[in-house]
Amino acid sequence: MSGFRLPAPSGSRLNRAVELSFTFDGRAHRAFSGDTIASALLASGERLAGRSFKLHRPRGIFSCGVEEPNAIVDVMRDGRRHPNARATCVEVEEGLAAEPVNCRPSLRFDAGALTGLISSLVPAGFYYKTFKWPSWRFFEPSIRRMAGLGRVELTADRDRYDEVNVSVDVAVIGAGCSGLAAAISAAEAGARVLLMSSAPVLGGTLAWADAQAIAPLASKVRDLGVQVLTRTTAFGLYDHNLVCAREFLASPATGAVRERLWKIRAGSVIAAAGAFERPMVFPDNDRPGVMLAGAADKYAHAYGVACGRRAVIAANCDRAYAVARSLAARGIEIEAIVDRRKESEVDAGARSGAVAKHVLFDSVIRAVRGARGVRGCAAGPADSSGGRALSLDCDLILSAGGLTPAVHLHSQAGGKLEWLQESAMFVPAGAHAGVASVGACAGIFEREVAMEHAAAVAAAMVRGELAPMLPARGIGRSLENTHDAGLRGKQYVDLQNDVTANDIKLAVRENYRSVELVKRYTTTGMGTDQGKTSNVNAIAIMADQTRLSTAEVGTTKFRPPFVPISMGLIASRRAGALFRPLKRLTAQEWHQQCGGSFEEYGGWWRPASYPRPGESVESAARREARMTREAVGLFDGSPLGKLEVVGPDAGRFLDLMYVGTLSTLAVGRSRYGLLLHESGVIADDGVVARLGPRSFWVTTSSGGAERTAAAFDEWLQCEYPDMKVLVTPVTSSWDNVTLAGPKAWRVLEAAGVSPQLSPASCAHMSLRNAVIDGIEARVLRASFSGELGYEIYVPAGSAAALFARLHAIAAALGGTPYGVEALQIMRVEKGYIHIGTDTDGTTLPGDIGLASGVAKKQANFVGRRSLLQPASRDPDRLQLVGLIAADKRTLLPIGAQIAKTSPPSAGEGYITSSVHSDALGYPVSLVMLARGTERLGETVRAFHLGKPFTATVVDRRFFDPAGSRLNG
Amino acid sequence: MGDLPNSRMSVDSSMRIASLRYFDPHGAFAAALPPLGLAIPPPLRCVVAGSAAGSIDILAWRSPTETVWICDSAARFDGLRRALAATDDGCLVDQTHGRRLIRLRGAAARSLAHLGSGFAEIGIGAVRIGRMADIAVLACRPDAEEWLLVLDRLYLEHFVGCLKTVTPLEMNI
Repeated sequence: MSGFRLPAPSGSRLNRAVELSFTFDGRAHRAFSGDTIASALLASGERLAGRSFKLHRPRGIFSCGVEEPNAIVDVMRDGRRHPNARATCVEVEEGLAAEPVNCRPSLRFDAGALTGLISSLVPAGFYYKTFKWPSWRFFEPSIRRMAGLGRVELTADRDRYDEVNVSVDVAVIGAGCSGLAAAISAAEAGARVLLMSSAPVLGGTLAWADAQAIAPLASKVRDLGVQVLTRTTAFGLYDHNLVCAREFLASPATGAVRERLWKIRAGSVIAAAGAFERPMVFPDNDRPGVMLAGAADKYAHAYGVACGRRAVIAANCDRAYAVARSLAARGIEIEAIVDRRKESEVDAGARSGAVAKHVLFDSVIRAVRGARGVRGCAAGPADSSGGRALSLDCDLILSAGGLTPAVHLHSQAGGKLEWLQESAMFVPAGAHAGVASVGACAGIFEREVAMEHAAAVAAAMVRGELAPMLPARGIGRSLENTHDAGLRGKQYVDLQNDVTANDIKLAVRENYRSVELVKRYTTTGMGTDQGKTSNVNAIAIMADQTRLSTAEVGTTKFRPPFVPISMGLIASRRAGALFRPLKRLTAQEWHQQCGGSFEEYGGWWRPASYPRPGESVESAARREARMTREAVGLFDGSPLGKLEVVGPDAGRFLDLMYVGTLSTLAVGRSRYGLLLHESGVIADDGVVARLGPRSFWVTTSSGGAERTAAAFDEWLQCEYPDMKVLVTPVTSSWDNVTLAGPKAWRVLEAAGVSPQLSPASCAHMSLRNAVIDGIEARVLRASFSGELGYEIYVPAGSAAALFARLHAIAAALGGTPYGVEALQIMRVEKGYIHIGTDTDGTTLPGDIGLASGVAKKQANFVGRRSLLQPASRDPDRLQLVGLIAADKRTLLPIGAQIAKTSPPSAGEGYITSSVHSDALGYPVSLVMLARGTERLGETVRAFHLGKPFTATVVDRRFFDPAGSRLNG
Repeated sequence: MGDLPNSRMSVDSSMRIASLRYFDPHGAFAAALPPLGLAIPPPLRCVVAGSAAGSIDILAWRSPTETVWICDSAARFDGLRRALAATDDGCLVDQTHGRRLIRLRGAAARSLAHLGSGFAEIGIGAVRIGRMADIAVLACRPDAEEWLLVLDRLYLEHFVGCLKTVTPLEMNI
C-alpha cells in the first residue's frame, strides 16, 4: 500500500488481514477487504478516475457515495461486464477489473480531450442550435460514439437476479442514528419493521465517526427482531407505500444471485436517508484533487485513506471547521480554510480550535493550479474587488458548501418542499400520508434531537397517528450562491455533464425561466447522479439570474430511481424461457414426435406445420392443406376458448351478448356467434352449443377466451346483475382434436365411433356426447376449413392418446396432421374471417358480410344501438372481399395498401390475409376495401414498401362457394 | 432452504378439483353441501372438510359465487357431482384436468414471497388470490405445515421454472 494509507485505528470498514488485488484502467492495484474501488485508488495515490461526459476533462474521485459524478467505471467480474457503476460504491473483490468510461485510447491519453480546445464553442443548447441541417440523424452516430458512458455487453446477461415481496408495518429507509432510533421505537411498539442500509454496516455517518455510539443501537435493533437489509438502497417510493429497493449480495458465488429487487409494501414509511454535501462553485473546481470535504473525512475514518497530504478547504458552512479538525487529527495538514462567509456569519464555537494555517473570511478560491491533479490554488476576497490573492500550496481542495437533505423519497411520495434560507437547503414541508422524514433528510442535524424526533415519529405512525412535526433546524449559516461571477475560468456546477455556471446563465438569458426547462436545456441534474451535488447550486445561480428567490425557482421533480439500477434487476427472473408464460398443449410431445415445427400464436406454443425432410414450414403447410382437402387432416384445436354458461337466464343472457339468437337453440344444436363491443365493433366470434335446458357450451377464438369471459362477467355484474347466469372458463380443462376432410367420418368409423355421428345422422353444427376409444368426448360437427369436420372435445390430457389412435387410421387413408399455417390456407380459401387478422378496432359486422344477421334480430344485444347509427351504415366503409393478383402467380403481401396512386396517397383499404392455394392453383388474398362488395371484378393497385401490384377484386369465397364439401 | 426438515414441494396430479358455482352462498346449492360434509367457507378463507388422516378434502373461497373444492377421493368427488346435479341454483364444474395443485411444506413456502406480492404471508386458514410469477394463482394454507397452490395447467411449466429459480429444492413432479 502507498503512503496515502493511514494506520489503524483509521479504516474501521477494513479488514487489513485480507489483501485483494484488482485492476483499474489496466493497472494492478492492491486493496484491503472492505475497500471500495475509490478508496483503494485514493490509497494508491491515483488521482485520475475518469473523463467528463462532454469535454473529456480529467476528473478525480469527488465523493464517497451514490452522489459520485466523476468516477464512473465498467466493472468486470468473471468475464461479465457491469456498466456505469460508481467506483465509490463498488466493493473490491479479488480479481475485479474496473475500466474508466468515456475515454479512448486510455484514461491518461484521451483523444476526446481535444474537444476542450473548442469548449467555448459548445455552450448550453449547442446540440439544439447546431445539428439541424441536414438532419440530426446525420450527426447522431458520430456524436454518440464520442459521448456516452459505459459499454453494455451485447451478449445475454449471465448474472442472476431475484425479486422478493414483503409486507411490513414500518419500513425505515436509512440506518443512521435517526433510522435506528425510528426502527427501535417502531419495533418496541409491536410493529413489524424492516430497516434498510445502503452501506454494508448499520450506523450511517456514525458507523465510522462514532462507532461506539452505534454499537448498542445496532444490537438493540437485532434483539427486537427488526428485519435488517444491508447493501440495500431504496430507489423508489410508489403509490400506496410501495418501496422498491435494490440489494447487492456480497461476493456471490458464480451463478448465485447478485442483485435482489425488494418490493416492500409498508403501512408507514420513514425516510432517514441523510443528506448530501453541497460543493462550492469556483474556477476549475473539477480538477482531480478537488472533492467534497465530508468525503475526505469518511475516506480517512472508514477506509484509512488520506486523500491528500495538504488540504485547502473551501467553506460555506460551519461543518468545514469540524472536518478540518478531524483530518488534522489524522495527520493531514490543513493549509487554509477559505470561507465564503463573513466572519460574523461563522459560529464562533464551531471554529474554535481551528487547525488551519490560514483562515480567510469573505474569501473564495480564485484559481486552481494543476490539470491532472491539484498542485495549489489562489484564494482571495469574494467581492471581485481585485484584492490580492493568496497563493496556497496544496494537493487537495475540499469543498464544504453546506448540506442538501436527501428529500427524494418525500418528494416521490408527493410531499412538498420548503426553502430554509438560513442554511440554504430544501427541506420537507410536513409529513405526507404514511410517509415521514426524520434526521438529516428532514433538516434536523443535531444527533440527540434527531433521534428523539425519529422515535416519536415512529411511535406515532405505529399508533396510526399523524407524525409529530419538528421544524427543520438546518446547520447554521450557509450562503445560497457560492459562485463568483467575476472570476475567470470554468466554474462547474454539474461535473458529470460539464455544465458550468455560465451555461445556466446563458439558458436564463435565452429565456428559459422554468427550472425543469433549464435542466433539460443545459443537462444539469441529469445523468447517473441526477444532480445530487449540483441541483441546489444550479437553482441558486438561476435564482440570482432571474431575480427570483430560490424558493420561487423551486426544484425539478424528483423521480425514481434514486440511484441507477440494472435492467436485469427490473427483469428479475423474467429472462430466457421464463420471459413470459407460454401456454402449452397437452399433446405437445405427440406433435413433436410428428415433426411439428412450433411457433407462438397468441401466447400458445403450437405447431405451425409438420415439415418433412426437405420441406419448409410454408411448403409443409401447403402439403397439409392439400392432403386435408383430398383425404383427412388432424388438427390440435385445444387453444379454442371454452366457457360453460349455466343458469336459468343463460339463453337470454347469450341473446344479449351475441348478434345471433341463441336461446332458441335446441339441446344438441349449435350456432355461430359474433360478439361485439358496445361500439358495434367485432370483439370475437365462436360457436355456442346447447348442452341442456339451462347450460351452454361457448367456444371463442384462441386468443379471445379471456376477453370473452371478462366481457360476460362485466355485463353480468354491471348491467344485468339480476340475471341468474354463471360463467366458468374451462379452456384448459378440455383438449380439442379436430378431424377435417372428406374422409373424416371414415376415420371415426374405423375408430369404432357410433354411427350416430355419421354425417347422415349428425347434421352440421350438431353437438353429441360420445365415447371414442374409451375416452368420453363432446363432438361438435363444425368446420373452419370448409371440409367435413368434427371438433372432438376430450378431457385435457387425453388428446395425445386420441391423436395417436386417429392418426394411425388417418395415415392409412392418406391423412396428415396439419398445423396453424395449413388452417390459415384453408380458411382463407373459404373466405372465413379470423378475428384480429381480418378485422381491426373499427370492423363492424356489416363490413364482413354479416349485416343480415344484425338486420334480422329485432331484440337488443350489445352493440346494436351503435350499429343503427348512420355512421355504421356508411356505404364507403371498408368491406372484406377477395383479391387475386392480376398474373395469378404473385402472392400479394399482407399489409399492402390499396390506392389509386403510389403512397403517400388516399388509401382505399389494405390486404389482411394472403396464402398460396394449391386447391385453386394460385395465391389468394382477403382485403378490407372501401365499398368492396360493389367493386367485384374491378382492377385495383396495391403498394407495399414501394412496390406496386395489380389485382382483381373478387368474391372472397374462393373455394367451394356453395359449401357442398361440409358434408363430406 | 433445502436442508431444512420437512421442506418439500410437489405437483400433485392425483387430486380432483372442481369449481362449485352458486348464486347465493346461503341458497339451495349451499344447503345441499352440509349433508355431504362440506360447507362454503367465509370470504378469503379455506376449510378442511375431510377427517381421514392424510386425506385432502378442502374448500377454498374464490369469489362470492365460487368455491374451489380439492379432493383426493374420486368416489367422493363423483358422489358429490351426482348429488349436486339436481340443484338448479348452482353447478359443479369439473376442473380436474384443467388445474394443477402444487403442495409446499415447511420452509419451501418462503419461496412464494419471491413470486408474488400477495403471497408473502398467508395465515392458517387464509386464501390468497392474485398473480404469482405472472400467473393467476389461488393459494391457501389449510394448516400450519402446508401451502396449496391451484393454477391453470397451461402455465405449470412456466410456474415450476420460476419456482426453481427461487428455491434449491428439487420438484417432485
